[in-house]
Amino acid sequence: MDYWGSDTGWSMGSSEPAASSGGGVLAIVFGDYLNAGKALLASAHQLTDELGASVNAALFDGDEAAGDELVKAGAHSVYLITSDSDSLMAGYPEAIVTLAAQLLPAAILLTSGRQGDELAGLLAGRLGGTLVVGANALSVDYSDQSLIASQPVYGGAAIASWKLAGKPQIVTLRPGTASPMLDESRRGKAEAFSFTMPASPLQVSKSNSPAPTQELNHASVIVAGGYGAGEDGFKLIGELAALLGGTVGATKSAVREGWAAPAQQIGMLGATVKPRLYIAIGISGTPEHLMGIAEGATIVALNSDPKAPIFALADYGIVGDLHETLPAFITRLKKTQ
Amino acid sequence: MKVFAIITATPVDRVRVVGGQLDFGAAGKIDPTSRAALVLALGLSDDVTALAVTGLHSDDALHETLAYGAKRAIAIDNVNAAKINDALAEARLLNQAIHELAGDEAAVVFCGTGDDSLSPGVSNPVGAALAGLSGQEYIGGTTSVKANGANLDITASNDKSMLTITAPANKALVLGVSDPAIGEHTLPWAGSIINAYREGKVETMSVGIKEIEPKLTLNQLAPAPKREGPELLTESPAEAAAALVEMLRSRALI
Repeated sequence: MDYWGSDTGWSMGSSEPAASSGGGVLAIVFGDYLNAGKALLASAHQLTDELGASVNAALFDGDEAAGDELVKAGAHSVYLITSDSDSLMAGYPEAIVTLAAQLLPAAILLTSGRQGDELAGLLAGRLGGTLVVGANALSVDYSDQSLIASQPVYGGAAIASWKLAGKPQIVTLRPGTASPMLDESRRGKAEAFSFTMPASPLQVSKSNSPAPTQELNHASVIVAGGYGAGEDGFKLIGELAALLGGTVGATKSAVREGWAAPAQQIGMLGATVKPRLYIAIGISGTPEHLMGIAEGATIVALNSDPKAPIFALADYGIVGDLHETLPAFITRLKKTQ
Repeated sequence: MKVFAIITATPVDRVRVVGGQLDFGAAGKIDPTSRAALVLALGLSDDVTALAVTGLHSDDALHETLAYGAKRAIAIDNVNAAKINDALAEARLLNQAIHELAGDEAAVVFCGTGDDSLSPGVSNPVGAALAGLSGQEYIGGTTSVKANGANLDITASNDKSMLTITAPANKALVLGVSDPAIGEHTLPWAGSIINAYREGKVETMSVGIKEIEPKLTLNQLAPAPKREGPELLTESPAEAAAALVEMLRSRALI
């Protein structure tokens, strides 16, 4: 398939949507992950601001209010799409291919994760172009308007920087790559967009079994406790994990004390986890535990000992009493949700 | 029906930076989700062909598939994947190889979506790209596949719910496997190991594509910057909590 009969570059020269002549960026956003979508739009703006190209968003299963939020976060136009929950991948590929055929974006951005990376792969196969997944930085080579994407490789030991050719250039960005922006004065439009699902020989139905997303090795957010958390601390850890939509993990010491189940143990004799966010509560940071955390996670550590080894690995740390800080964190989360 | 398992390799030891250079180690092994994909494939058929595009440690991983019971292990050597890292180019090579090997039979292709050796926490998109460019249905998060008469009964997870899928057994499919725990405790059995030792040979294959033009150019490959230590929040508990919530929200981590 080739929707791109002629080269569509970045430049638009106006704030009008790209529908008639192609170009610009299309950000794929899911209603359940609006914040991640806003961050994508911020990344898109960093690329297009100087070129005056448009930034559009495809919002799945979000309402007009959510569309308006995306406009204020940087989208010129938001296309509101209802997914097909009875289809594989909820009809996302078919919807995006149909929309892309109209908009002819020069680049398509998604948030990296299992859903985003696989969807990006499908789109790249259907639309042609180029693909990089899991990028943590994005820039433009203005000489030929190609994207340059950087990604951690070889387990995080190195950073590779790639220049993409062809169109569309499809990139999935790791969460946390950019901070969402907010401009209350921005105006744009949100409109419904419909697509047709082609007939499929597959029969798809939802099973009664729960998805394994809350198992440790699938969890994207983990709140883990160690010996320093104590039995009372684990009650707070459970509350925090539930609030964040995450899963509770534990060190060997905590499991030995009976504060967590063996299935929740993380480390050399337990699970190896790959969350995007790992909050370590009262965990000293022994090598046996740390080897269970894959590179790439953002680690937040809370410990009363400023010399705890966990701080050498953490991205953010709080030295303090968890019985004061955790309740404050939970209260703040509830207040600002 | 012809069953294939797409194999990705990972270094046995973690890649390290030694003297400013990357040390990839001397040996590789099969990536855990590729092993899961192979185990599911072997559960469906005892005639499984393992395929990999030649790259870092790919031969080691393919040798392992023979020990697990794959009938053939084939390295596609048109282009070295370690040099191109272009998932689409890799998918094109695999697509052509499957087309040449399957002939008129429907191909059921299992592909692991984890990628321990590359970008951490990121899913390998090669299987999905293969489905996209070949026009086949793609089922991600596959957890089980069973033959049921003229159909295949498949279960898969889409992160929100488990799905049950019935597919005609004569329909080509690409199945993404993301759970490394599948087949975690499946060990190669002695017969396969002996056969692999005696007769096992990784074959090479050049597929009939005149030119693969990678669309990715490597600008730079450099050791990752050393971590400087954490950003410490030292205010009162309430202030530290507020700062932490703000930071996590601003980075779209919660």
